[in-house]
This record gives sequence, C-alpha cells and structure tokens, in this order.
Amino acid sequence: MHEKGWKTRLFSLVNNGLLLVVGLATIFPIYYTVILSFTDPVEYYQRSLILWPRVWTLDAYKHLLSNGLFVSSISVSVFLATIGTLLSLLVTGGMAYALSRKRLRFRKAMMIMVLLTFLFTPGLVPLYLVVRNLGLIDSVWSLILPSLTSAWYVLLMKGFFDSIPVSLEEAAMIDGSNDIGVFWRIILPLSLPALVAFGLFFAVGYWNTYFNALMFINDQKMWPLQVLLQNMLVDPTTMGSGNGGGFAFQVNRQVPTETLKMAAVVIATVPIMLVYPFLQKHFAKGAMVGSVKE
Amino acid sequence: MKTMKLKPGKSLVKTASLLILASSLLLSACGGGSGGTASGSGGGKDGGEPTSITIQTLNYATEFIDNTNPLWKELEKRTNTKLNITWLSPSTAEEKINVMLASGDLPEVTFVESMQNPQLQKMLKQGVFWDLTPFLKDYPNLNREELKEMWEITKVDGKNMVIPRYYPSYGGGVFPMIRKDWLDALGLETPKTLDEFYNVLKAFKEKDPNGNGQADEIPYAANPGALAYIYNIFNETQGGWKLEPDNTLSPIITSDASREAMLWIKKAYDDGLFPKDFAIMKFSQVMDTMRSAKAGVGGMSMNHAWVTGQPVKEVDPKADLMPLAYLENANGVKYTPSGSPYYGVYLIPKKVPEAKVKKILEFFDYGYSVEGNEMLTYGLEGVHYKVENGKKVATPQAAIDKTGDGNLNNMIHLVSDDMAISAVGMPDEVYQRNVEIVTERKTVKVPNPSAELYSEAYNKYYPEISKKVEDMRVMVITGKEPIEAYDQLIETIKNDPKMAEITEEMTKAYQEKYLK
Amino acid sequence: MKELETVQIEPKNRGASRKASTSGKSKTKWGRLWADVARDKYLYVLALPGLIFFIIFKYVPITNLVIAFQEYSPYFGVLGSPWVGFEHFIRFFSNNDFWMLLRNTLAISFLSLIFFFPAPIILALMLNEVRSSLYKRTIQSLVYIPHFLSWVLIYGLTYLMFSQSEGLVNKWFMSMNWETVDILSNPNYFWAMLTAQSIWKEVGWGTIIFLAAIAGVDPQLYEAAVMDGAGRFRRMWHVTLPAMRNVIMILLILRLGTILDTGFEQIYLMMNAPVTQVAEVFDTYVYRVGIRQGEFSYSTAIGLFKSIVGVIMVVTANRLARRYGQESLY
Repeated sequence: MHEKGWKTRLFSLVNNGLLLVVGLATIFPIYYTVILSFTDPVEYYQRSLILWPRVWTLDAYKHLLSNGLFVSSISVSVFLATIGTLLSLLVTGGMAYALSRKRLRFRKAMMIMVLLTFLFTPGLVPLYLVVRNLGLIDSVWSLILPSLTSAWYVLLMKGFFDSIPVSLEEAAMIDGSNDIGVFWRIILPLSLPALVAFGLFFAVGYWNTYFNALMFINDQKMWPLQVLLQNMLVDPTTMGSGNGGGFAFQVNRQVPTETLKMAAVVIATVPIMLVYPFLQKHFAKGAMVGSVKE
Repeated sequence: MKTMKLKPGKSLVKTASLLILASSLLLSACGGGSGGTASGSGGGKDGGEPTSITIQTLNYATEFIDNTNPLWKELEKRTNTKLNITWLSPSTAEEKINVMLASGDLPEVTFVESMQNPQLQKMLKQGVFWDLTPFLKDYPNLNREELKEMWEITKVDGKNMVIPRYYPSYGGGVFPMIRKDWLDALGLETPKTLDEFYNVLKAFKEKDPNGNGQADEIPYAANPGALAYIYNIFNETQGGWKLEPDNTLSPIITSDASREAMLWIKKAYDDGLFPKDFAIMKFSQVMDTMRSAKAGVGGMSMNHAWVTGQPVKEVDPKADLMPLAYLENANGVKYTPSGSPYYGVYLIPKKVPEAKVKKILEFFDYGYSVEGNEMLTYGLEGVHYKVENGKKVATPQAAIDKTGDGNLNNMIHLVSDDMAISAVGMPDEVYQRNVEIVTERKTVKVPNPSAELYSEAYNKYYPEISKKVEDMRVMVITGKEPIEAYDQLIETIKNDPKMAEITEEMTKAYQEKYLK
Repeated sequence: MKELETVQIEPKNRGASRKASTSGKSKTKWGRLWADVARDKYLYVLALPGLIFFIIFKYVPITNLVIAFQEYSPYFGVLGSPWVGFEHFIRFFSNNDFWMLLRNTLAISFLSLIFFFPAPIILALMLNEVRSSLYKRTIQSLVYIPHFLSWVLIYGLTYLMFSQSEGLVNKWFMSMNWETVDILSNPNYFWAMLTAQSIWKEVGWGTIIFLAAIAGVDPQLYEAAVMDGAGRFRRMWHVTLPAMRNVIMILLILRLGTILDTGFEQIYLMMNAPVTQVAEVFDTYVYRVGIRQGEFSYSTAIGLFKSIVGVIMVVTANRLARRYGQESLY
C-alpha cells in the first residue's frame, strides 16, 4: 500500500476513531459491572452514581464463594467445558468430514436429514422424555449428549473440510491408511485452527449450560455453575404469583443485593473469557469455516 | 465449491425420511405412556423394612440438604422410611412441574403449586391420582382442628384427592409495609383508610421524612403488579371474582369499582407517589428501591418486616418497617389480604400400590403431628434449640444442620401463623408487633368466592383477557392512553362471548362447590 | 425396494467383515452401490455418532410434533391422545392477536436483517483497515466481550443506562436540567432498542467469521488492485467483499430460515405493559400459553407453523441464490 496522501491519513483517523467509540461503548457497561461487584451494598444504595467505589470490598465474592456447592458446580462446569467440548469436536468433525467427501453414497440424504433439524425444533417435553428414557436424569451426560452438535456446526465444519484438497487424502490412502486414519492423522492436524475456533464455540455453550440443567438435573451437587448462581440470585418472591392468585408470598429469603449479582456475573463470565486470548492467534485462521472455496 | 444439483432426487428424500421414521418410532414407542419411577416393593408393615418414598417438593433454601443430614436421618428413623426427596428450586419449579405433569413422569408424592393448574385439573378428572377420602379418617394428626379447613376447601367433587400443604390464612400476600420511623418523624398516625393512606404518601413526598433536606424520597415503591390489592379494596372481595346477591359470580376486571381503583392509582401516579419507572419495574427492582431506604412504602408479606427490614436498617439505622393491618375504602369496608389455609398440594399417582399410599399418609400424619411438625422446622430440642422462658433459642448446630426456613420445613410447613409473620433472627418487638397486627387482620373477613374454582374456559381465555386489561390500565395510569380507550376495551370485553362463557362456567363451578 | 436396502446400510456397515459375500451376486446398480458403501465403510463409521445423535435427540422428539393435531394428555400419551385435526391451527389463525404477533415478529426480524446482519460485516471491514495490529487486537478483544454476557445481565445494564429513575442517561439529562426521556416503556423506541441491544451484544463476535474470510484473501489480489490504481473503497468493494460473499450468502440463507424466531429471552425480559402491543411475538406467546398455561398441543401447533414457514423461506432463498449464481446451502 503505497499511497500516503492526507486522504489516507484522514480515513485512518476517522476509522480508528469510530472503532474507539465502538470499543468504549462495549467496555463501559462491563466496567460498571466489575466496579459494582467490588462496591459495598450500603454505598451502592446511598450514592446515585458510582464510577469508582469509595471503599473496595470483596464481601460479595466471599459470600458467593462461601457456598458449599461452589466447588462442585465449578467442577461440573469445567468437566462440561472440557470433555463435552472434546466429544463435540469428535462427533461434529467425524460427521462433517464424512459429509464433505463427495463420493459418499447417501450423502445428500444425510445432508437433508441434518438440515431439516435446523428448522424443526423439538419441544421441551419430548426431549425430556427421551432424556429420561435413556436414564440420563441427574447425570452429567444429560448436559452433554443432547447438545453434542447441531446442524449449524456440522454445516460450518463441512464447509471447512470441503476446502481441503482431495489430493492430500489420496496420497495418504496410497500409503495404506483407511479413512479413519486419514481423518485422524492428516485432516485433524491440518484443521487445528478450525478446531480451536469450534472448540471455543462449544466451550462457551457448555459453560453457559443453564436451561437443560434446570430440566434434567435435580441433585444440587450436579448443578453447573450457572444454575447455582441463578438459584442464589433469583428473587424467589416473584414465584408463586403465577396462577395461584399470588397470595402465598411465603418467602423468607432476602432479595440479593445488586452488588452480589454483579459479582456473580463476573465469576460466571471471566473464566470463559480468559480462555479466549490464549486461542486468539489460532482464531484468525481458524474461523475460516466455509469461507475458503476452490 | 460447485453448487450441488437442486433436486436431491425424490427417492433420496424418501429414503432419508423413512430411515428416520423407522428408527424414531422404535425409540418413541418406549417413550410414551408407560414410563415412571419404579414404585419399589409395596409398602412395608410397621416395624418392618423401611419404606422408600420418592417425594418432589419446593425448597426455598440456598443449600438443599440430602440424606446425610442428621435431621433427615432422624425423620427417616421416626417414620421408618427411606426418603428420596427431589428438591425444586423456586425459580424453576413452575416450568419443571408443568413438564413433569405433561410427560407423565410423576414421583410417588408429586407436588403442584396450584390447584388451578390446568393440567392438574385435567389429570384429576382422568383419575390419575388416588382418592384419599376413605383412608384419611385413620390418621388423627391429619384431622387436627387447624387443618380442617384446608382439607375441606381442596376437595375435588367432594373427594380428597390431594394432601394440601398448610400455610396460614393471614399474614401473607402483598400489602403495604410502611416506614414507621417516617410516620413518627412527621407526626402522622398509622393510616386506616385509603384516603389517609394517600395523604401519608403525599406527606412522604412533600415533607422530607428522612430529614436530609432533599426531595429524594419515593413515597411508594411499587409496580403495577404490586398494586393489585387496590382493586380488591374497591371491589370488596378477594381474588378476581365478586359474589352477587343472586349467588352468581361477576368478574371484577370489568366492574365500575375497578375503574375507580385505576383512577385512584392514576392520581397517585400523576402526583409522583410512585417511582418514575413504575410501569417497567420488575419485582427485584421494586425491592431494590425499598432497600435503598429511599422508599416509604412497599408491598410485602408480614415476615418481610424483618427479612427486608433488616437490610434497610443497614442503610438507614433508624428504619422500621411495619405492616399495615387493613385499609378501608370509601364505603367503610375493610380489606386485608387473606387466602385459603394452604399453599401447594401433594398428590399420589395411582401406580403407587395401596399399601404404600397408607405408608405415605402415615408419613404425612407424623409430619403434621405436633412433635413431627416442630421437628421439621426447629430441629431437635437440646441439639438445635434450647427452650428459654418458653421460647425456642437456636443453637449453632441449627445453622449447621440447616433447620428453620427452607428444606424440611418447606416440605411440610409449621402449622402456625409464624410461617407467615416470623423470620430467622427477627427481634422480639418486631415479632410481637406482627402478632398484634395479624390478630387484627384476622378480624377482617373478606369474601373469596372464586377460591379453588376451576373452569376450562377460564383457563383457556381468561389469561389473555386479563393481560389486555392490565396492560391497558398501565397505559391509562401512565397517561399513554386516554380513559376512553379503557372504557372501550371494557365494553368489548363485556360483549365478548368468551367472557360470558367464562362467567357462566365460574358461576356454575361456584354453585356446585358451595351451594350443594 | 430401494428404501429397504438403505435402512440396512448402517448395521451392515458396522460389521465390516462380511464385505464381499452379499454383494457378489450381480454387477447391477445394486452391486455398485454395495461396493461403494463397502469402500467407504470407515466414512460411515465416522458419521455414525453424529447420525445417532441427530436421530435420538432431534428426530425422536420431533415425532412428538403430532401432538399438534391432538388434544394431548399425558395420561393417554402421544399414542392414545384424541385427534383433533387442525383445530389448534384454526384457533391460532383466527385469534385476533395473530396479525399483531406476525407483524411484530416480522418487524423485529427485518430490522435485525437490515441493521444487525450487516453490522459485523462493516465492523470487520473497518477492523481490516486498521494498520496497527496492537490497536486492532485491543478493539477486537473489547468487542467480543458482550457475547459472553447473558440477556438477564444485559437487561440489567440497559436499565442502569436508560431507565428514568436510575438510568445514567437520564441522570445526565437531569443534571443539565433537561426533561428525562422515557425510553424503555415507549412503544416507538422498542424495536430500535431491541436491534441496538442485539448489535451491541453480538457484533464483535459476529466479525470472527468475516475476518477469517478476509484473512483468506490472497494478498496478490490487493497488490494487483493497487497497481490498477484502486483506492481504499474500491479495493474493499472489489476484493474484500467478494471474498466474503460466500459466507455472507450462507449466513443470510440460514437467517431467513429463522425469520420467525426472535430472541425469546431478550424480548421477554424487555417487555412491559406499555410496549406489549409491539413486543409480543410468537416466541413469547408460545411461552405464555404453552409452558405457563400448559397448553402443549396448542403451542406445538404454533411451533410447527413456524418451522414450516422456515423451511419455505430457506428453500426459496436457496433457489434464488442458485439462480443468481451465488453460493447455496445444499
């Protein structure tokens, strides 16, 4: 890029300026969240606007971490985000790879079968029945198996595999590998950046598992983090007002303070956010998904 | 990538769909009807093997207890049972119960929050659950005097199909909780009528009750939902229906009194007595406003005199939250919130063998005996509490074993007003005042003709109609729509054949339940 | 006949040992088919877990969609509930609110299509023009963050920013002695606010896929364009955008298929009485009627209606895309 006129400089200035505005607009509310999580509730209620707390306090965090279930819920969530992600990658990858090989018989039938699920979403009750009949209620697998993959991911990953030249595969076949061998030794290593990108998608999904856990998990010790936090934070007083006419507000629990809620948000989102920078360099190349075509 | 051919070939589509259909039929066949938890070996005889009972119920505690809890073990020992309790957290109970009912996946003791649950009503008619009437007489504690009313009112077609969970009639419900210290600071009396109440709110706004020289007070922290009781004050009835002299029910949603109630609220809104965000606040935001100690009145059940009163005190040490006893309308008719003496019901599906049904009733019989009932809430004397001057004082062990609010106490409530007016840590003077107020509330009898009535048309159409009216009310109150729009809406609803059908069915349900 | 053959494929495939024995009979098209299948047996093995997943967790529950034509009762189960034909559909379409629901759903969807969909593309283009890689990376990392926040929190943040009593914006207005503005309960602003929220939350995350596409552009193309004397905007238009075209088309087609889906949680949280008339959409209605009021058959019928519209949209869009020589889905 050789031109160095004032036009270019002006363009860069405006462009960078706009991006700064976008960046600040996203960061400010988040800054506010973090700040509030370290503020004393009394100060929060007394002052109208807090941009910097007078006194920093860790009380909200201490309160959250003192919950006996915290450790178990963290381990459930970590299990989901690791094992679940790996399984998802394998299942999605295997299927997407098979579907990307054009010589495969019944490929289109399978494709249509996958695509249709994109549009027809099964209801909650039927899914519950399936999970129950498989005996998965109260098992950590009920949080992994029903969300292993989706038409969306299969499709994107297939797009990525489409871009890998068939010649590579043929060379390996001549060396005596079978399809699984090719997939494992050649395709997967080649796709590392894509796998990282997909891995992050899956990991975020598993980390944020909430609704399925509500439905399929009764045992508190099996709760993932998000459910635990929601349960600690939700204001139970709104409940029971549903159809019973709202008489029995029998709740003895305090509504959690705003600062406590913010601390919960920080705890729930920071770990998964921290994963991102480590993967960033793979990312640029990784998310090419489906974009590179012959 | 070269695009593929447009037509995948009809046969391919067929193949795919057939393949799917075949395999899915196989799987769903084992999915449908049958299902359910194995009901274990039939009920044991006394002294024999402990009977295992699967129970599902609400739990408001932050940490649920399990079968390693000493109190749980003690309960199992005393009732010769092996308990398998599934706790539902209140944030999700409604959805989960609905899904469980719809899937037919019912535990041996199934909890449903409301008798009006439409699915439950259908299932009751289909005979999914045991009729307990013939067994009940054998269990003296279930026939305690205090429980008579709840058994009577939960009858379905004259039969006891459910085990109601006791909850006191008075002390719960949304009703004004007022900053007593602000009243005192301005030298005001506790309001007894709606007019007085209005003047108090106005004074809170104008006379700087917190004395900081700024007009930062919010007289009444409320959202539209928290003011539903105003309509009941004007209509002189509990619930959404009023009993007419000719023994028919009429919906208060379309009554003239409701129009006046709305205008009362509108006037208060125009005078700035509610928060600016009145229309959009969620309950937690209302409570947050209360907590900021800037609000003079909030709507809460009586135990919040301490549950919420205490955190307000942290912000403003002078704060003192006091529930109102009642409010009188312009006709001099008093109103206070009250309800049927239970909250939620337990049901036993027919797949449970009869011997076990008896065992389950035995278990509840113990839970409602004085000894068992107190144990579930307070724990064991000497271990979890000591009696000093006739009062139970909790020991440190109580917190470790999680007695008190939540857990076992949520499974079977304490048969006492304390359920609604007391709270852990509530100081004596607050408690004593609550006792006085609840006693005063009990002198106010407001008819509740629509309690425990069920109509199919009501379930199908009423929620949408009432939502329309409630939305319109908010629009009129906040000045987004003129009163004429409201009148027009009410007129159309009055002429709506659906509304006529609902009214007719409700009247019929009333007459069948109470006039036979 | 053909169907029968295919149904057997998978089991045979798993037991890969008996390869040739069954197929040797003829060299007709069946024989070739069998030979092909046998050759690719390992590919089928790779696809198998995914297939099983789709069948068990998608298609088995989907068969329960038949309850849309029943008066479903758990007591009788899916197999025994009485059939009512199209009753639920008729009830839905004859409901006075149907047109309101349709209007709101479409309006919110189209606003999102017009403003939300291109937003990450534009942002990606802007980021691509940044010279300093540190600056670019910083901005990128910042704009990704909101993706990780839940809607409940975003609702809370919106309230903190825009409400009349607590909101930062109105606090600022008050300090300037201006009138406060009612943003959250104003039907005129509601759709715009939803769109803005979605953009705020997902725009950064959305750039990932487009940036990747841009990264795949051959640098020689840019150089050639510069030689031809193309300025920045023309390079963007003639080099960068075409490179993103495939991704854009695919995403667009998929988006059209979900035209009747609107973010349930977001709308449910932002809804309040004054805006109900513009806020109620299919998803919130289904939740209210289906889950809260327990009318499972009725809500299933509505879900089915949505799915069918989705299929039609995707097929049409795909056809159009192909006609104009664009990338298509299948």
